[in-house]
Amino acid sequence: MRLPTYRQGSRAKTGRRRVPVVGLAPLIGLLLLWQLLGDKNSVTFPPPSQWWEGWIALLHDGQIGSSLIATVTAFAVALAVSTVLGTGLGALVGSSKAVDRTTGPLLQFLMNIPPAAIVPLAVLVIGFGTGMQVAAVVFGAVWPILLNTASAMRSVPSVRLEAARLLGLSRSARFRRVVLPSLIPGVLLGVTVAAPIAIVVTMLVEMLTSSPGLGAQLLDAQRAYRSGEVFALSILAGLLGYLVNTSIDWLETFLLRNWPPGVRR
Amino acid sequence: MHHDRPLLDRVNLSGLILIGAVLGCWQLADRIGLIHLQYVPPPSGVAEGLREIASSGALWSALLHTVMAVLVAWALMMVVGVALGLAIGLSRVISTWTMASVQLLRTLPAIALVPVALLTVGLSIESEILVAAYVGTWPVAISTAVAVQGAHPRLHEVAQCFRLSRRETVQKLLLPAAWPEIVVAARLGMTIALIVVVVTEMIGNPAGLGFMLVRAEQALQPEQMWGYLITTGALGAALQMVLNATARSALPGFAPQLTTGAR
Repeated sequence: MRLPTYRQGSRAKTGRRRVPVVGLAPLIGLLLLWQLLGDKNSVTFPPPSQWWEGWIALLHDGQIGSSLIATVTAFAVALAVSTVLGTGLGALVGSSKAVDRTTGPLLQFLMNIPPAAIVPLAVLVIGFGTGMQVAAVVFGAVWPILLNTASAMRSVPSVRLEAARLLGLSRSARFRRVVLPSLIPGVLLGVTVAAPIAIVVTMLVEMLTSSPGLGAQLLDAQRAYRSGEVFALSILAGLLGYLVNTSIDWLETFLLRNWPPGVRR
Repeated sequence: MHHDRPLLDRVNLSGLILIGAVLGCWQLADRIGLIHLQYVPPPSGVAEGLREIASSGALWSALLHTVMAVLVAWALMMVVGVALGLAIGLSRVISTWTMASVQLLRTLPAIALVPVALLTVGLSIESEILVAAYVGTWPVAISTAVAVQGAHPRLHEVAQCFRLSRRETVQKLLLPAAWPEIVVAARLGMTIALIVVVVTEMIGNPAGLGFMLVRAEQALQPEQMWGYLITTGALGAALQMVLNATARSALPGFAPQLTTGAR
């Protein structure tokens, strides 16, 4: 009997390797079955052909373009702000044990508040608008970045810092050229976790405040029982999520192109 | 030999001071009129709001609804997720023929699925449970699969030595080897369950903490809204604590790994 090959234990991330395309078979099979057995006029379980009809209806309606732009813009801005804020705060928290201990309980409490629950608060305190949307998303998305940056900060190899000092680098140069680049993998890991949260909260704000965007259109379609459109929009949202993930992967590949291979998460 | 650390050392004094300072500044700023944000009541106002909703009973029924939805969804995602993960982890064939679908299905943002669930299942607790369980099953399944696949080959050798059947190998060696990852996934699943349940309540199902939160906001009752907000945060923390304590007592040997999830 062949012994199973030893993969890297818990560090193996299945998403990093090429996944066999035949794995899509169950999904495609399910969709085909649905199409064949489904009732075209069903309001609750429209078969895939109806999703296409819904998509055509959306295109005709014309709003889909501006909705998409609104959602993507808000999401991108919020994620950028979260990254800057999370990196800064995370570096601060990770740099000193005292700061870590002091801010610990407060941060623990804040980060355990479900980001969705912050949205009504943001609506009341900040009022309607893109600023509120960004604030709400940042509140939810900043924590993974903060935590991962702090962790990366704590694990900068002291050898690197000593080498920098030996080379006569000034404090700011040390930070800029040794510490900050060392944080990049951690920050990117945080961003990978934060991106889905950001998408969810962005669309949630749209749903709760009917501000222009994919979320608002989705909820509208559901309330009007335009089921084909509901499914079509959900798939669009899924595509958006997939694109965001892929973009972050590319960004990581680009930023870490000169790094030794073992560093990538 | 154990030295009992002095109490001052064990209690996070500076941390408590910071929280106290934040609350104090908040109260003070309101008292001296520095912030009179209508919708940011001082801690005293929030306490009043909490008292109101607690005594009227609204808090408890909402809390009960949400807790039930979260727990059922969590149980469902653990059972289905671990089973699926085991299947994928143990069988090359299943892994090849399902992984791509799993990866695809898990990228659907939970928020986009809520209207779908509301459409298909209707405005009920089932829609909350369904979406939450759906979103949480994939991380659990993938974590379990990875953990099982990554079990040290020596475990398989041991199984061979003892001539264990396939089922016994899984039950006595592989599954226990996967416990740390499964517990980490369980914690993540609990967080996911709470978030998705609350979101579904906010958007569709008129019941539970999420719904009451939005209703207080729309009725411009900030004290009550803050009360629900704090309850939700506290619920999240409480669920995590219970989960951690249960995991630690059920798997005493794994204690150090359970906190970090690392091997």
